[in-house]
Amino acid sequence: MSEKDKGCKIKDLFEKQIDRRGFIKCSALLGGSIAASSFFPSFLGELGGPQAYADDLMGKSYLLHLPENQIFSACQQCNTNCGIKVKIVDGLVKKIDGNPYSPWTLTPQIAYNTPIKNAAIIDGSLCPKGQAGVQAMYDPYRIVKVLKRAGKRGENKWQTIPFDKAITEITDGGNLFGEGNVEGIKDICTLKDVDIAKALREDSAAVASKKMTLDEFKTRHADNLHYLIDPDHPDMGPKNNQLCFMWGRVKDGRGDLLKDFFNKAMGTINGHGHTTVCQGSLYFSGKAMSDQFVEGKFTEGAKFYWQGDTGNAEFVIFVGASPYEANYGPPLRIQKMTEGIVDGRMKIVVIDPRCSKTASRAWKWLPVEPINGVGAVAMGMIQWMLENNRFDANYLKNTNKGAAKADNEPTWCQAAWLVKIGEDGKPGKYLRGSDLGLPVEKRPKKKAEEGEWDFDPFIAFYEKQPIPFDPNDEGKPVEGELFVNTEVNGIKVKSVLQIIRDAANARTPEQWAELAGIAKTDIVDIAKEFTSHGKKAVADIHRGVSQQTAGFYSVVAWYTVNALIGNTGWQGGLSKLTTYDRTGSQPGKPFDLGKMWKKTIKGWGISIIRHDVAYDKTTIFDKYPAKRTWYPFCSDIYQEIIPSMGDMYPYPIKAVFLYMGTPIYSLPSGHTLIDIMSDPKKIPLLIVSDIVIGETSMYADYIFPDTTYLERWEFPGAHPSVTPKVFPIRQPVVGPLTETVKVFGEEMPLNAEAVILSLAEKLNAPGFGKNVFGEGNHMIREEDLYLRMVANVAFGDKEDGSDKVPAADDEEMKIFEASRKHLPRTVYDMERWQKVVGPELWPHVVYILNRGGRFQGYNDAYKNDQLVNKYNKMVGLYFEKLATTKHSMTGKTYLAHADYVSGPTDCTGNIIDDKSKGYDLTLITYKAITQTKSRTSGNYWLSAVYPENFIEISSADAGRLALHSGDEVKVVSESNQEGVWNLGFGKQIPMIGKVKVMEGIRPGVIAFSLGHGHWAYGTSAVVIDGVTIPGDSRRGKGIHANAAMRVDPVLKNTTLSDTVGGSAVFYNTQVKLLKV
Amino acid sequence: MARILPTEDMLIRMQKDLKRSLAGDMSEVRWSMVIDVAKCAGCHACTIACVAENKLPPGVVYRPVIEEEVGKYPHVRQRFLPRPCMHCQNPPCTKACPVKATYKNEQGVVVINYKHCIGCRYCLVACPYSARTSDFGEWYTQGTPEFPGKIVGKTKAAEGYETVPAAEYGKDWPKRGHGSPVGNARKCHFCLHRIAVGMLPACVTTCVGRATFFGNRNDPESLIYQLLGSPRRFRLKEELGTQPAVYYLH
Amino acid sequence: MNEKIFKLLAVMGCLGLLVGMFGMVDRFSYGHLHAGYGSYVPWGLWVVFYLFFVGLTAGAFLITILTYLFGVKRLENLGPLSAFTVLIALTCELIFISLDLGHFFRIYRFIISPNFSSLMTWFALFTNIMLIIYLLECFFLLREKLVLWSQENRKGKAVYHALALFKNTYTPEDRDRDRRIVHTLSILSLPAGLLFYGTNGAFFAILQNRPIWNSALTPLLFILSALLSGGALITFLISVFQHDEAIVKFLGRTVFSILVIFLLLEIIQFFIGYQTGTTSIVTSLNSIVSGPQAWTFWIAHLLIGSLIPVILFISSPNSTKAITWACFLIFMTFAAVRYNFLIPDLSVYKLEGLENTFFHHRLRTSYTPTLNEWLVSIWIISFGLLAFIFGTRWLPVLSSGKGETDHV
Ligand SMILES: Nc1nc2c(c(=O)[nH]1)N[C@H]1C(S)=C(S)[C@@H](COP(=O)(O)OP(=O)(O)OC[C@H]3O[C@@H](n4cnc5c(=O)[nH]c(N)nc54)[C@H](O)[C@@H]3O)O[C@H]1N2
Ligand SMILES: Nc1nc2c(c(=O)[nH]1)N[C@H]1C(S)=C(S)[C@@H](COP(=O)(O)OP(=O)(O)OC[C@H]3O[C@@H](n4cnc5c(=O)[nH]c(N)nc54)[C@H](O)[C@@H]3O)O[C@H]1N2
Ligand code: SF4
Ligand code: SF4
Ligand code: SF4
Ligand code: SF4
Ligand code: SF4
Ligand SMILES: [Mo]
Repeated sequence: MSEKDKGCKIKDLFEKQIDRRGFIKCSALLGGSIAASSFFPSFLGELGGPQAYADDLMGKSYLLHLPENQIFSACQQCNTNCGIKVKIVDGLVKKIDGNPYSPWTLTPQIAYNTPIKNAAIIDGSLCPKGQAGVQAMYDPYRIVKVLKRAGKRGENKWQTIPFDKAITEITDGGNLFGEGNVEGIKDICTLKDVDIAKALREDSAAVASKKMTLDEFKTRHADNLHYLIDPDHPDMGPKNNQLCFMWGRVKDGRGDLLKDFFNKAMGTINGHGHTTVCQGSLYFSGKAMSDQFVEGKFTEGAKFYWQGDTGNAEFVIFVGASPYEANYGPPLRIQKMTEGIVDGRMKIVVIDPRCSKTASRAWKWLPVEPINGVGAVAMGMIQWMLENNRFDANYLKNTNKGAAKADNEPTWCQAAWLVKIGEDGKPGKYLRGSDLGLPVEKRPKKKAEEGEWDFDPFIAFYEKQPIPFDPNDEGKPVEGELFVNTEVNGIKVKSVLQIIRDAANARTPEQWAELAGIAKTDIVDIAKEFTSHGKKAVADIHRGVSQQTAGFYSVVAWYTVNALIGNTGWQGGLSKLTTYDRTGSQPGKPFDLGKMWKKTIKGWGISIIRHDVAYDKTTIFDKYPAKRTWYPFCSDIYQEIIPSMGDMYPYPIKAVFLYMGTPIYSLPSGHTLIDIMSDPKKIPLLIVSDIVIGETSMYADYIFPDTTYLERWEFPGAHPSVTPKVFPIRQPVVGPLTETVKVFGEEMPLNAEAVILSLAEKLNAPGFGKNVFGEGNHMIREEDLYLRMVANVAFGDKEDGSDKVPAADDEEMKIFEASRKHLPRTVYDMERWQKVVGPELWPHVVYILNRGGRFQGYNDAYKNDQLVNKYNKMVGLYFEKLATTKHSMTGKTYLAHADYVSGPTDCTGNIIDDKSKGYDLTLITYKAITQTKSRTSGNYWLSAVYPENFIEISSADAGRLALHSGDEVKVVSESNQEGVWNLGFGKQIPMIGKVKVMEGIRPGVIAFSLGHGHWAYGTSAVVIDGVTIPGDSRRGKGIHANAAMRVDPVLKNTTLSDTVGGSAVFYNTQVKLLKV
Repeated sequence: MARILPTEDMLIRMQKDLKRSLAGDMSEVRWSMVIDVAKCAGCHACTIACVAENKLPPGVVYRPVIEEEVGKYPHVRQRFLPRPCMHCQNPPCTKACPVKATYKNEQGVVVINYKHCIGCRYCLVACPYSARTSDFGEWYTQGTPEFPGKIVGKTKAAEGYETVPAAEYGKDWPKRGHGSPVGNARKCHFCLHRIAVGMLPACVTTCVGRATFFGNRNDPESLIYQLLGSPRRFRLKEELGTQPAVYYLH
Repeated sequence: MNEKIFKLLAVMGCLGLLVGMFGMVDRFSYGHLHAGYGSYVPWGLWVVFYLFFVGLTAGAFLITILTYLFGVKRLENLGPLSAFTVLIALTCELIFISLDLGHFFRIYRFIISPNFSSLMTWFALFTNIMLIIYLLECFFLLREKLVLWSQENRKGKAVYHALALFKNTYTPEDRDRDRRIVHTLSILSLPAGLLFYGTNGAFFAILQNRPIWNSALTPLLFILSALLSGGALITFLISVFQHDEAIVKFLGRTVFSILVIFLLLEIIQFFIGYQTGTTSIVTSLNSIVSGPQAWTFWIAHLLIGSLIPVILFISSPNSTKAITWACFLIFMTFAAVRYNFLIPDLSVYKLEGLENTFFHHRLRTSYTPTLNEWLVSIWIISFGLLAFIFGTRWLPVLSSGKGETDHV
C-alpha cells in the first residue's frame, strides 16, 4: 500500500489507541507534550533544548501492540513448539513473541478468559530461535515450485514442473527419468477391497502362528495372491506395503492427514517416524513401563515418557538433559529453574560429560564417563537407597490399585510382585495363582461380544505367606513384602525389588563410581539429597541417557530410581503430558473424524523396520542371527528404514515419501544412507516434502515445496513437563510463499496437504472428496479436517458440553477478521471456515483460534500436592514380555528389568573396542541454544551469535595432543577412516573443524554442537532449469561430525542402535583427531 | 504441605508497575533495568529479540550477551553478562555529541535523535561500555541469490525482515538505504516505542531466565525498586562515575 | 620551483584525482559500506589524515610564534607562503572530516544545536576561526599584488580583479593598513592557534575510557606534533620556494629541537604506559610496537621519520639540502605518528569477551584501511597538492610583499 494511505491508517489506529490508553500518559512519557509539538512547526522544536527534541523524538507509528495486527500460533523452530504471538503489518511478519495464554511462555500464563485486546500488549518469552523465526519463513533459499530431478540422484540438477504433472507422474509412473520404467503409486497400492483384505489378513496371521499351512492358504486365496508381496510369506502383507511413508518431524492434524492417508487410504503399514533418532529408548521404556495387565496380558503401554514437574520440584537430577540449551525447552523450563534455584526453592544436579549451561547453574556437575556412566550412576544410587533404607516402602509395597488408593498414591508398581527364577538363576515369568494350584477365574471381556478371559492371579508375599492379587482391583488392597528370595511349592521366586537389588549389588559402590567415572561420595551425596525431599525430588532424563546402545536399560534404571521414592503423579515429581481430544471419538463430540475411514482396508504385515513383531513368530524366521535386527518392543526406528531398503529386507520397497526429515544429516553415520538413496534400484521412487533443498532432499526424484510453520496448520501437542491440559494450535498467520495449485477444484497453496489431497483425488482414495462427513460436508481442503478438530477441542471432553470454551464476543469476532484480512482466499475465507464447523460452534472455534489454542490454568493443574492430569496407573518395573521374547540376533531372551548393561555393543550384543585401535577420544554431541538441525542455518541473526561450531576438547587432552584453540582437525573413526562425507559424484566433505580448548568437558571426551557444517541447504550451488543458483558460505560454517559416528560392524549400513528401545546411538563412538 | 503456586508471572507484575508509572507524573519517573546474572541462562534470546524488535542490520547490536568460562576442571562454570546500554545518568556519550543529537531524556533514558545525528561517531569512542554501534548500511540478505519463481530469493527475503525498518522511537523510517538510521550511531533505547504503549522492553519480555527486570526506580511499590535493595547489586565500571541506570545482581 | 618538478607534481596530482575518483564515487554511492572501520574502531584512515593536516597547518603558527614571541625578524617575509599553506591544509582537513561523517549534510546542526560540552563543537569552532583568520591574512597579504596584476594585462586579470574585490588602485595608505591588519591577525592567530591545537588534543584527552589518550600530556603532545610536522613542512617549502639559506638553517634547528623534545615525550609516554601495567594500556602499546601495523611505527615513524632526520641534522647541520630532506621525511611520515596515536587506543575491547559474542567485522578491534579509504585519501591529497602548486604559480603567493612592518 502507498505511504499515504498508510499514513492515514496509522493515524486513525493511533486515535483508537490513544482513547484506549489515555493521551496524556503517552505524551507525558515522551518527556514533553506531543500536543505542543504537533502545533508548532518542527524547526521550532529543533531550536529548544533536549526537552523540545523529546517532542520531536517520539512518533506514533508503532502498531504491533494492536490485536488486529496479531495472530496467535505455535513456534516450530525447534520441537518445543512454544506458543507464539505473531505481529503482522501489511501482510508481513514483523515480530514474533510469546503467546501469553500459553503455559510455555509465562508461569503462570494469563487467564484463558482474558480478552485478547488485553493480551495484545502482553508478550511471553521465547528463545533466540523463536525470535529469529521470520528468517526461516523468509529464507531466500526456500523453494516455491515442484522440483523434479534433471540429472542423476544427488547430482543437484533440477527442473521446475507443474504440480499436476508431478502428481500424475507419481501416481501413474512410467519412464519418468529416462532410466526405465518406474512403478507409480496406483500400481503399488493395488489391494483396495475391504473383504479380500480382511480374509487375507486373518489367514496370513494364521499361517504365521502355524494355525494354517501355507498350501492351505495358497489354495484358498489362489486368485488374490497377486495382491501379496510374496505369497510364500503372506505375513509380509500386501504390495501396498511397498509404499513407505517416512517422516522426521510431524505433529497432530497434519500428522493425522499424512499418516492416515498412507496407512488407511493407501493401506500400507510402512509409516515410520524419527523417534529413535530423537529419544527413542526414552519413549519405548515408557511404553514398556506403562503396559497394564488387561484381560490376561500386559498391553496398552503408551509410547510416552515422564519428565520432572520443573516448577515445583525441590531437587532435580538432570541426566543427559540440558533444558537451558535444548530439551523441551528453554522458555518452558528455564524460568521455573532460574527462579527456583536463585530464589531458593530448588537445587539441581547435572550429569553430563560436558559442563552445559544447565550444569553451570547446578549444585553439582558430575562429568560422567559417556558410554557407561549414566547406567552406573543409576545402579549405584539404587544400591545406596536400598541398602540404606532410603526409599518409600509404603508406596513400593502396594501391589495393586486398591492398595495405592488406600495410601492416596496415584500409581502403584510391581516391586512386591513375585517372579519365578529359572535354574540358570534368570528371572522368568511372574508367579501365578495356577503355579500354587489356585483356581483360574473366568471373566467377561470389556467388549462382552468377545467372550471371556482367564484371570490367573499374581502373587506377593505377605507375613511370610503368598497372597494372590489382581493388579487392577480397586476393592481389595494387597500389600507385599519388598525383599523376597525364597521357594514356594518348590519354585524359586524373588520379588521384583529383590531382583533389582541383586542387580544393584552385582558391584560394590566403588565399582559403580569407577564405571561412572565420578567419585563415590558424589553418588552418595546425590542419593542422600534425592531422598530428602519426599515426593518433590525427581530424576529428569533425556538423550544423554537414551541414545546409547544400553539406552533402554539406563532409562529404566533411572525411572526405577524415581519409582523408589514413588514420585510419579505428585507435584514436584514425574509428570506426563495431557491434551484435549481432537479426534471426536468419544460420545457427545461434534465431529467423529474416524468416520472418514469407514471404507478403507485394514492393512497388515511385517514392516520394513520389522517392529512390533518377534522374528521367531514369522514365516521369515530361519536361523539366528537374523539378517537384520527385529524390534518387537518399539517403532519408528529411523536408522533402520533406509538401510533396510538397501538390504531389501524383509522385502524391497518401491516408493518412499519423506516428509520434513533429513536422515542423512540428522542420523548418526547418516552418510551410510547416501549410497542407498542415490540408487534407483534400491528406492525406485523417492518423493520429499521440504522447504529448502537440504542434505537429504537433494537425493529426491521430486521435491514438493512446503509451507513453513508460519504459513500452515498443525497441532503440536505438549511435553511431559507441561502439567496443565493443553491443545496448542499452529495456524496460517501470513500468506504462503509457495505457488497456488488447484485440487478438487479448490485453490490452495502448494504444501504437504495439497500433495496429499491431490494424490487422493487422482487415486480417488477413500476418505477424501465431497460429502465424506455426510451431505454437504466435504474433505477437499486442509481446513475441512483441521477446523473440525479445533471444534472438537473447543467443545471439550465432557459429553454434556459443559467443558466447552466460551463463545467469542462481537469485539473478538471483529478482531479475528481484522487480523486475517491480509490472508489470501487460498488459505482463509471467513464464510468457508464458518461453514465447516457450522454457525453454533463457530464463535467457540474463533475463541480458541484467537488464543492460539486451549490451555488449562496453571494452578488448576495441581490439587492436594498432586498433579491433576496425572499418570494414575501401574508403573511397570519388571517386563514379563521381554523375559519371554527371543532376541532376533542372539536367540536369547531379553533382560527384563533395570540393570547395568555395558556398551558400546553391535546389534548382536558384542562389545566394540575401538579404543584399543588407538581411537583415544569419545565423541559426543549436543544442541546449542541458538541452533536447530536444519532450519536455523538460514537464520542470519543467529549466525551472528554463533557463526560456527567447534570441536570442544578439554585442556588436558589438548595439551596431550598439542592442540590449540583455532587449530583445524579432522575427525576420523574406525568406520570412517577418511573422515569425510561422501556425497557421490566425487564430491566429498571432509569432517574438519576448529578446535576449542576448554575446561568444561571431561578429559577423553570431545563434543560438537548440532546445526552447523551444512553442505546443502543453501550452502552449495544447485542447478534449476539450467541456471546455477550459487550457495551462501555463511550457511555452511563449522562441522557436522555425524559421519564419524560408529557404523554397526555387523549391519554395515547403519549406526549402532539400542536393539531393545531402538535408539540410534550418538555418544558411543571412539574417534581420533588428525591435525590438518 | 502444598507449595504455594505462583499467582502471576514476574513479567505481568512488572507490566502493572509500568502502567502505574505511566499513569503518574512522568517527570518523577526514572526508568531502570536490573539484570540478575545468577538467573541468566546465556540463551541470547534478549540479543536476538532486540535485533528482531529493532530490525538491526549486520554489525549493529544493542544487547550482546558476553559468555565466559571460569574455573578449572572439574570445578567449572559458564558465566553470562548481558550488556544493554547502561543509560548512564552521567553519560560520557551525550557530552561528546557535538550537536545534542543524543541526550538523556526526562526519564533518564539516553536516546539518539536519528534525524539530528551527523554520524561523527564521537559518542562511540566515548562510551566506556561499547554500547553504541554505527549503522553502516549493511544487509543480512546481501549476497543471497534472486531467481524468482525458483526460490523465494533475496528481494522477498529482504522485504520479509530488512527493507522496512522497525518503528524505533515510534517513528516510520524510510526504506532501508534511503537515509537514517543508516549512517547514524545506534543503541539501546529501552524500547521507548513499547513503553509508550504500556509494554515492557523486548529483551525483558523474552528473557527466558527472567533475569532482566525493568521499571521505575523511583516507585517504591515496583519490583525493580525492591530488587535495588539487594546486597547482590553492582554496576559495571562503577569507578568511571558514569552512574549506569542498569544494575546487575551477582 | 623549476618547471620539471612542477610538471611532475601536476601530473601526479591529476593522476591522483583520477584514481581517487573511483573512491569518491563509491563513497557517494555506497556511503561507508566499503570502509574498514567499524563500531569498535569507529575512526580510521580519514581521521588519521585529518589529524595529519591539522598538524601541517601549524607551520604558519610556528613562524608567527617565532616572529612575535621570539622576535625573530627575518622570518616575517614568510607570511604569504605559510598562510596559503594553512588554507590548503585546512581545506583538505575539512574535506576529510566531512567525508568521514555519516550525515554530512546535517553539519548545519552545529549552528542549530551546538553542544558546548562537546570538544568536537569547540574544535569545529576553532577550525573555522583559524580558517577565517588565515583567509583574511592571505587576502590582505596578497591584495597589493592582486590589484597590481589585475591592472597589468596578463591572463585572467578579471579573476585577479575579482579576488582583489574589484579594487583598482593600491595606495601606500592601503599598504600600511593591510600590514597593520595582517599584524593584528598574526597576533590573534597566536591564542587561536594555541586553542586550536590544544582542543584538538583535549578532544581525545577528556575521554576517561581511553587510557592512553586520557592524559594531561595529550594536548601538549598535540601542540608539539603540530609544530613538528607543520614546522617541517614549512621549512621544506621555504627551502624549495624561497631558497633563503639562513632561514632554512634556522628553522631546521628549531624543527630539530622540537623533534628531540617530541621523541623524549614519546619515550616518557611508553615508559609510563608500560609501568602502569594496565592491560588496556599495555595491549594498546603492544599493538603499536608489535601489532600488524607495527612497521608504521618502527620504519615509517622511527627510522625514516626520526632517526634519519636526526642523523641528517647532526651530520650536516649547515647543508640546506640535508635539512630540506630531513624536514621532508619528518612531515611525510607524520601520518604514521597520527595513525599510531589514533588506532591503538581504539584497538582494545572495552569489555572482556565482547570479541566472541556477536560476530561481525565491524565489531572487531583490528583495523586495516580498505582500498576505498586509500583512494579517497589519494583524491583529497592530490586535490590539495594541485591547489597548492597552482596557487603558488598563479597567485602572488611567492612574489608578494612579505608583510614586514617597519620597526614594530
Ligand atoms: N549431531 C547431532 N545430530 C542430531 C542431534 C544432535 O543432538 N546432534 N539431534 C537429533 C534429534 S533430537 C532429532 S529429533 C533429529 C531430527 O532430525 P530430523 O527428524 O531429520 O528432522 P530435522 O533435522 O528437523 O529436519 C527437518 C527437515 O525438514 C525440513 N523442514 C523444515 N521445516 C519444514 C516444513 O515446515 N515442512 C517440511 N515439509 N519440511 C520442513 C528441513 O528443511 C529439514 O530438511 O536430529 C538428530 N540429529
Ligand atoms: N536449541 C535446540 N533445542 C532443542 C532442539 C534443537 O534442535 N535445538 N531440539 C529439540 C529436540 S528434537 C530434542 S529431542 C531435545 C533434546 O533435548 P536434550 O536431550 O536435553 O538435549 P541434547 O543436547 O540432545 O542432549 C542433552 C545432553 O546430553 C549430553 N550428553 C551427551 N552424551 C552424553 C552421555 O554419554 N552421557 C550423559 N549423561 N550426557 C550426555 C549432552 O552434552 C547434552 O548436554 O531438544 C529439543 N530442543
Ligand atoms: S524453544 Fe525456542 S525454538 Fe523451540 S519452540 Fe520454543 S521458541 Fe521456538
Ligand atoms: S552506556 Fe555508553 S551509550 Fe549508554 S549511556 Fe552510557 S555512555 Fe552512553
Ligand atoms: S554520532 Fe551522532 S549521536 Fe554520536 S556523537 Fe555524533 S552526532 Fe552525536
Ligand atoms: S531495551 Fe529494547 S532496545 Fe534496549 S536492549 Fe532491550 S530490547 Fe534492545
Ligand atoms: S534472555 Fe535473559 S536469560 Fe537469556 S541471555 Fe538474555 S538475559 Fe540471559
Ligand atoms: Mo529430537
